Amino acid sequence: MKRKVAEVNLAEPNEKSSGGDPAQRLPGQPLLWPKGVVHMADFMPLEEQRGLLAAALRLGCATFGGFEVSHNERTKRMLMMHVGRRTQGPGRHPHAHVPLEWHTIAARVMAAARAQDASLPALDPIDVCVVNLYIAESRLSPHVDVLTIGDPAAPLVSLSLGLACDFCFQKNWGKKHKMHKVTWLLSVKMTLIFHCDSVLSWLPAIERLPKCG
Amino acid sequence: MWLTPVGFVVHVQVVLSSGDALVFGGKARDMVHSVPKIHPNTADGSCSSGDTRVSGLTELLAPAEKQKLASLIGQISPSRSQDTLSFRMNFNFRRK
Repeated sequence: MKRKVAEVNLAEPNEKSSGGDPAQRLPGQPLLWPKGVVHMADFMPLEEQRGLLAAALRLGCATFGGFEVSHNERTKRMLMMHVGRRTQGPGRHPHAHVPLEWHTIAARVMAAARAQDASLPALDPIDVCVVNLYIAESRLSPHVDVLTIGDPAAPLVSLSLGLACDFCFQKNWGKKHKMHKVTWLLSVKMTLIFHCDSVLSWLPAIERLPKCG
Repeated sequence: MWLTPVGFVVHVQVVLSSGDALVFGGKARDMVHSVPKIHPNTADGSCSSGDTRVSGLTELLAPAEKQKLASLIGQISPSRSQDTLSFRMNFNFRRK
């Protein structure tokens, strides 16, 4: 499968990004991303992926605080686990802190990312890990994360295992990016400016699925 | 009629495969993001890299771990065959 990117007039492009044909880049070489975003393909060797997966299964099957079904207007057919978020109370995970092995991997990713993009702030401490488990029918709708209180620029490190997925983003929900502008553009058949694929795939991004179970 | 969409961003889309790392922070931390599609056919090694196939990953798991995975998948897809361990797992590290 060819990795694809349908970028449109990205503001503040990352100066160290490679650009050009995404299929031609080397492993670990980023695509054309805006500043503050670094994508490193094939970063983790298979054995390391296996270790992460095994640990997540061990923690995720805990009686309390393990994986919980998330099936609502924002997430479809997903399981989620929060390690380190709640350190007290009935919802806390028995493993109250991010495991040391995970912490080490995340710190290594962060160091590599900062070598690619010096504008990225440090991620210290790494005290929360949200683990999402998807199946082929799962979906995660467009959203903005809850940002770190007092440091909204603190980065997020995301690692992927298993099935490949489409990951979409736009810069923000700001005034310049209101959805009605996209609708207007569609109405006057201006989609070719943005490449049809990019506009049309965003609007119906979350398909309706049959009710789970 | 052709207009120049100066400063207008629709969205960026990329395929994330097993073993990929993505970091976003600074001005990009509040970006709107989503996962609109999981590629089911990537379980058989049709990814761009030979070592990122799910089949290779799950085969490395012990039987008890496979059973845990099947049990978890069964919570969101009860009708799925226990032999099908197609999944995507995503770890998101951050500060509180």
